[in-house]
Amino acid sequence: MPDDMASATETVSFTLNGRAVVAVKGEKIIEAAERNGVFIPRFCYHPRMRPVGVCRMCLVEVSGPRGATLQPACYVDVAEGMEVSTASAKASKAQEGILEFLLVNHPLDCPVCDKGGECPLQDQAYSYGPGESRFVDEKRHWAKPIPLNEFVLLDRERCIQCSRCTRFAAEVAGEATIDFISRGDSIEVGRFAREMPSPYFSGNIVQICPVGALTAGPFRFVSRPWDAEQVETTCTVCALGCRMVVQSQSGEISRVLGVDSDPVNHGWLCDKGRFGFDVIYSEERIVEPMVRKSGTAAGGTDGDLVASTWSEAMSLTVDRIAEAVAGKGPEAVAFIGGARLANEDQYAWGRLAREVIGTTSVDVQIGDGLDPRLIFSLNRATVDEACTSKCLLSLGGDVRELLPVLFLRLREAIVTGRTKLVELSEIPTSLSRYAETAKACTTEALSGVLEEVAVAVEAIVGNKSGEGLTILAGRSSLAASPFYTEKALAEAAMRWPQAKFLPLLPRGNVMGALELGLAPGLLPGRRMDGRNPGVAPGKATGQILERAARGEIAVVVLLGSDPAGDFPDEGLAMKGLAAAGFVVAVDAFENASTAFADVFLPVALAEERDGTVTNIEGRVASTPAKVVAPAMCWPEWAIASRLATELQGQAWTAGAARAAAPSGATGAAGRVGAPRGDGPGSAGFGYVSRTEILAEIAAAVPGWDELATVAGRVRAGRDGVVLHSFGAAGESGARPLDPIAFPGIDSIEKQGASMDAGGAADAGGAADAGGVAGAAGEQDTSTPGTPSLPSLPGEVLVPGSPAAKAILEAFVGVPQPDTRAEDRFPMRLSSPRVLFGAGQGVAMSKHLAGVGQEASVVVNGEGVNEAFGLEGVEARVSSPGGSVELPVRIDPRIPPGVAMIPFNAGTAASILIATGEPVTYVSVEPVSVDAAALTDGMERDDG
Amino acid sequence: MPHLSSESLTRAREIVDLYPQRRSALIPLCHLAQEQDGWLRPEAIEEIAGLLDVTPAEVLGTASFYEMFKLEPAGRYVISVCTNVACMLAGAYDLLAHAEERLGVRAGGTTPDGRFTIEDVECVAHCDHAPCVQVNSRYFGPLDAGGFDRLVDSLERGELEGDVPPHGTLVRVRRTKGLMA
Amino acid sequence: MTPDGGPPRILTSRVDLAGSYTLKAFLETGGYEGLRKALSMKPDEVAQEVDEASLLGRGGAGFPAGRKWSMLRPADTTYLVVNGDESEPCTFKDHLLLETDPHQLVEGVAIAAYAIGVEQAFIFIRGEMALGLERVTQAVNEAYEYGALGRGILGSGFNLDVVVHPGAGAYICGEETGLLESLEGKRGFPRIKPPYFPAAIGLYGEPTVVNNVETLSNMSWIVRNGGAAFAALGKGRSTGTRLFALSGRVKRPGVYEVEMAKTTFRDLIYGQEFGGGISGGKELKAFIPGGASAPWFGADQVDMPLDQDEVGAAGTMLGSGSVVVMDETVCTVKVAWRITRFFWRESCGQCTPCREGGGWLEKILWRIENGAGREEDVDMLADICDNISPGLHWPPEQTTICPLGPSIPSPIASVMRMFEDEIRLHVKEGACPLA
Ligand SMILES: Cc1cc2nc3c(=O)[nH]c(=O)nc-3n(C[C@H](O)[C@H](O)[C@H](O)COP(=O)(O)O)c2cc1C
Ligand code: SF4
Ligand code: FES
Repeated sequence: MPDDMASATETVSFTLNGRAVVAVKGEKIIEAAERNGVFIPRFCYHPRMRPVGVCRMCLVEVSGPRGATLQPACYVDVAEGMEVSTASAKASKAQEGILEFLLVNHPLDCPVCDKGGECPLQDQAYSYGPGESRFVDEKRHWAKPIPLNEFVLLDRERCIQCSRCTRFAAEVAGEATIDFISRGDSIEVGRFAREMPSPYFSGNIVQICPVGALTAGPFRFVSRPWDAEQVETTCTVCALGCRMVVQSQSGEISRVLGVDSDPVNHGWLCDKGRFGFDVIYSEERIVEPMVRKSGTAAGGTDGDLVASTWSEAMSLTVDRIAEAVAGKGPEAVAFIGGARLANEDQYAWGRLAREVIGTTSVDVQIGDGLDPRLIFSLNRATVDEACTSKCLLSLGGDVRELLPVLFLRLREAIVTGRTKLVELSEIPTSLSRYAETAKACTTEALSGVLEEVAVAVEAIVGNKSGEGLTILAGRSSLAASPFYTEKALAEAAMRWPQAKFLPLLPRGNVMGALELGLAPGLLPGRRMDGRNPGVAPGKATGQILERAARGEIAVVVLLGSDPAGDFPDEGLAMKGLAAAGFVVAVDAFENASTAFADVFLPVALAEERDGTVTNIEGRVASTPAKVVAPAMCWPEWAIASRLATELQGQAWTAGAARAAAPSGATGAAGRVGAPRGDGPGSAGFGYVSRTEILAEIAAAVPGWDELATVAGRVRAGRDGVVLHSFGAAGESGARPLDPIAFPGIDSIEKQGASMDAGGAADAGGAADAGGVAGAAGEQDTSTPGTPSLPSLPGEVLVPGSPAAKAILEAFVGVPQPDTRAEDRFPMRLSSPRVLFGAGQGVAMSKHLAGVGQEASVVVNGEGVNEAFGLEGVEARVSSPGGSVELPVRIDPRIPPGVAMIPFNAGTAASILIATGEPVTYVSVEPVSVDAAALTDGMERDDG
Repeated sequence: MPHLSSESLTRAREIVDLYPQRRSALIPLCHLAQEQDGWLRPEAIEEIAGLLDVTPAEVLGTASFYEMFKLEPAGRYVISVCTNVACMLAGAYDLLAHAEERLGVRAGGTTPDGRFTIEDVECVAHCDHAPCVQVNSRYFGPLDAGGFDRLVDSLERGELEGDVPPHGTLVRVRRTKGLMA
Repeated sequence: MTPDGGPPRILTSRVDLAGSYTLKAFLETGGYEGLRKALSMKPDEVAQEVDEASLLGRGGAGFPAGRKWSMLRPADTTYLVVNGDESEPCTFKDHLLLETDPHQLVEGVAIAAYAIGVEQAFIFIRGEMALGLERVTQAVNEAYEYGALGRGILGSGFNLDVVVHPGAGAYICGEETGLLESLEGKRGFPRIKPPYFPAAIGLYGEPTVVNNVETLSNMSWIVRNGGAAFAALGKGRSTGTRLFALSGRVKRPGVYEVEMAKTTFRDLIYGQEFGGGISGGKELKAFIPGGASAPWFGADQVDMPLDQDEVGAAGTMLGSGSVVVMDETVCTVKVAWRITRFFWRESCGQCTPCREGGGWLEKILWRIENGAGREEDVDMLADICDNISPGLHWPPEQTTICPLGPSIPSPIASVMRMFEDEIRLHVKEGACPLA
């Protein structure tokens, strides 16, 4: 609000409890009073929703033409000369009266109520209430808690009808799946029996409920607020980076609450981010190093992973890497994944790969992203910029599935009329219904359709330069190669030089990884790698797997990734991993890929380690640890550091390592030496703490120097800092939060679990891009859709720079292969990513059990085999690459001729997709069903 | 399978077309569904939601605000006994007690044979005929105990079929003229 | 003037006619002539006549119709909405008009729409009035057929569509913003003010005039006879005739059209052409002058004229035009309880004081009436009432969104004011002294 004050031209003066104060024109009394230090009690008012003035708790005395009258402070705008008394005898009596009324039907069961101790009704009853209720008659009765959905329970007796939850559903989430039923004092919040509130945003209604009416199953009875410790942090479930606090109790996480970060999440969280934290307590979690015993290393699968020690696991890994480099050169060692890692971890692993080992085969994206060189050549929008642009143009991707809270932000911007959406998507998304224009458009047709909608877009923004336009850069489907989207993005950027882009890359800290060196072809700080990369950025994982399948890769390191379960071409992933000489899993859980692992290195998870993360905007925010990791689980940076140390002990790496030390970073280079001890604190690159890495990043990466590091935390407070504008680090001040949803918010930031060990940060020098021994060889242009770039070693990718322009031109110039359905495979496969897929985040969480999507094939029903008119029929979906059996669902919103299979609900889609093909076509046929029997409605044959 | 009959659906579409905004047809469509089924079935709620592009919860939430919509099966004849002031001063509570006794159910209940529901309602604007009742929104009154019995007898014998359509049927006149094209 | 020299029957001229609701009967008795005349005038001139008539709204608030029309914010789309929700206890005058003279209403709607330049009107009719709904729907069908509605009405260039919209049982939909919400297919939650008038922001957010059935049923007469002729009836601001629904302990309850201000409550209750006196020859104890929300009058105020301003100055209102008579045998606590029960059951439930206060007061009054009252209950009643409507004065101050909230204390305050002894006696005797 102070920033508003600064920019607001119009202010009004009014009198607040006899004191002359100033407010912004249009501000509500409740807000103006709060900013001037006077808290007015309230229940229904929520700063992020339209005021409705129903609870009447905020009645204050306001002067007016007919004398002073009681007015709801949450609804009435401050006016010039107005006199407001919040605590006059009349106002106080009214407030007392309201509280007494609220308690008429409210059970007095505070001692057994989950809200006890942090209940605004309880608190305000003490501060503003009559002391005791005079009500002696019978209260209204309802059956005790009833479930609203998988997470939320409703105790209607405690409800005070403030309508916060129902308004959230209708106004914020856009899904009025709960509503008031009945009227008067029999009003209850309810849902239609056959439709539950979807598990996307339902946790928010628990957080904003001012009484104990809505509680969350995962949080019930686990803690009492006075016992809880909390730390403010950033959610890493997706790449939006919602701010939240993690609360713990006796060292165990008990609850997660959204924090109101103005530029990011407005206080909201998605249910996956809120409830999925319990994965860290999963019984399936791997908490000690393991090595595969018996049998040979080749293939790795003939033997069991058995518990081991860090020294054994490390030395085995070091030996194999050393052998690989010695035998086949550094490119025989490859790294896949890393989006789950914190920035500091990513930087350390990037240095290990590039500088110590010397490979360029690193890729954070698992075939589901976009070329980072392209992303960094585009003007990036912040979320706020997107929400205030005149036009949003979406080239694909369902934001609600990818970056759920971004959906809330964008939806709000659209429904309030601030911005208009033009959507091009293979299948309808959750934003389609709000779109000005929503066009069904296959990914391969994007370029042409873009041409068609350009006029409409320009009409909305009112210019041809793209000013006021934000393009949402996501992928509709992982069954179409990214190069169609990349080409369309480059074309859009050339056509509209002023347009901004918001990448819809969902994975936790993928943007940090791309910025800090886990991307092929790019060094930390978006500097073009001078060496011939040998791999195509954005497609590197595919190439790594292909090379592995051909026997060219000796060691694959999986950084919290599961190509076998997650890469769009399952067949290739399995072949590659099976053929790789040695597979190292750096992870917390076993998965389809770790079945190939020869070594398993257990890691600390986000809530257990300090760090920073970077969101899709380029906003860096801190993720302090809240709880302590199991003893043998190390933070990822420490594993990299230790590996580096041991590898640097090997003769072949010594020279390279010294040469690789950041120039000027003599301190760091000086510490390179023999490993000491068996713990993460050992000097590797010289890192003994995360703080040190952060300092080095700050010195090496443009923009990061703006982040003064104090005890390893980014300087900025709640909102983090957006770095991609290089230097425009801004901090925004505290805003009035919703004190109801967030009791005691201002006392946060104090109780992190473990502070980093170790000394003060040494400022490191800038990473030197050149002079690193690397793989020689031609740039791989055989991968379709990979642009052939002029040599740009050392260039920093800044939008608008010559390098960025060259990149855009190169992407525009990529020839696009024609694709056509064959007779045998007449349908187009569309495979979008969904929020609740079958990945670890869902599968390992007890809280999220039951919301994970089952795989199915969804078709329009029109023009398909008659038999599919029947829901749930089993079908065989086949592509040239494979065949799967799935139940059929009919959805008329899917365009005819398209078969939709959610990408990450199991591996059905990735069995069908062949990444070598630009587009996947399939056939959909009933599984050995007698068609006549089907149409006759007879029993079907499940065989 | 649509739950509304094709005739109901045709009428539903006609009604929707009368309004500048679809959702305005919500109450008329609930009346229509109640006319078809005698009460507001969940299937009808879902279908109305689909026709109006709102959620079933919104249809349920809105319908449940209004006294006339029955979310559970109601009798073929819903007898609404007014007990508000004018009727009370004319003995409405005695009439209600008699009605409960005659039909063997308490206000709010339905006879086991599904023929009658009794309700204790607010003023139905027929106070010059106090105490009065409505049967399926058709007026009767003033009624004493004997008059009530005769009314029930007639209903039971089907003598009032013409005056009192089954519960749910509100307006037997169909809007014949569309809007100006 | 009527042949007997009494006031003209402006609203009820057809009620005794057989088939009065048919187009045929309507046309035979001068139907749609007012509309024809209006269409021959300029819209402003029609509005001018209504303004001159000083027609006060008959829905309850008594706001001048002409002024309300003039407040309609100019816009591309505007609406006229007829309030036929009539659910105020013991109010049944619109009921009569809807069933007996629907064309008179349709004609009034067309005249009003023409005067204010509206092309789309809605007639919202209380759902329980099945016959009224049928009659008005039929009348609208006939009017389209006849050419009095639709495109180019009666050969003019004026277009008007009318939709008859059924309510579904909720008193609060009589409150005009609750009505608009209901018409939008939502719960009848009254809208928070500001905006104060639907004339600025109404149906679908567009400027909207909401008028009562009776208000609009006057239009044909006013246009045919001129606003001045209407204003010549009555006195001061209370002009014309008005329907009063008389009920309770009178010999001849019913709807009576009386000239405003010239008639007194005594005339209405005791006059032979009206109520004909208290039934059973009992004494008048008190009466409600204008609907359940209105503070009561005692027997000593029975000579008060039916004049909006005089009644207002005496601390109550003519409101919805319903007069309920209580004789000496009536227990006022019981009446207050029943009205409180009504408000409790009809509260929409948005505002805490109304939602919770109504039920609480009802429970206390029920206890007192049935002999379980406590000494402290009487003062507590007063204090709870004060928490709903601070000061308990007239017009009431409200702690709620709509006036239903402050209506709840109204009967209780009336009993406290006039019959406090009676309440205390209930408590003392542990039973109703009048039972
Ligand atoms: C609780 C409440 C109930 C009301 N009920 C009715 C009603 O049933 N009929 C009506 O015409 N006006 C009713 N009104 C008044 C309307 O809000 C509005 O003032 C009226 O319809 C305007 O029409 P008029 O100006 O022609 O009187 C009610 C007001 C309140 C506060
Ligand atoms: S005062 Fe009562 S009826 Fe009016 S809006 Fe508030 S709760 Fe609803
Ligand atoms: S009425 Fe203002 S906070 Fe509820």
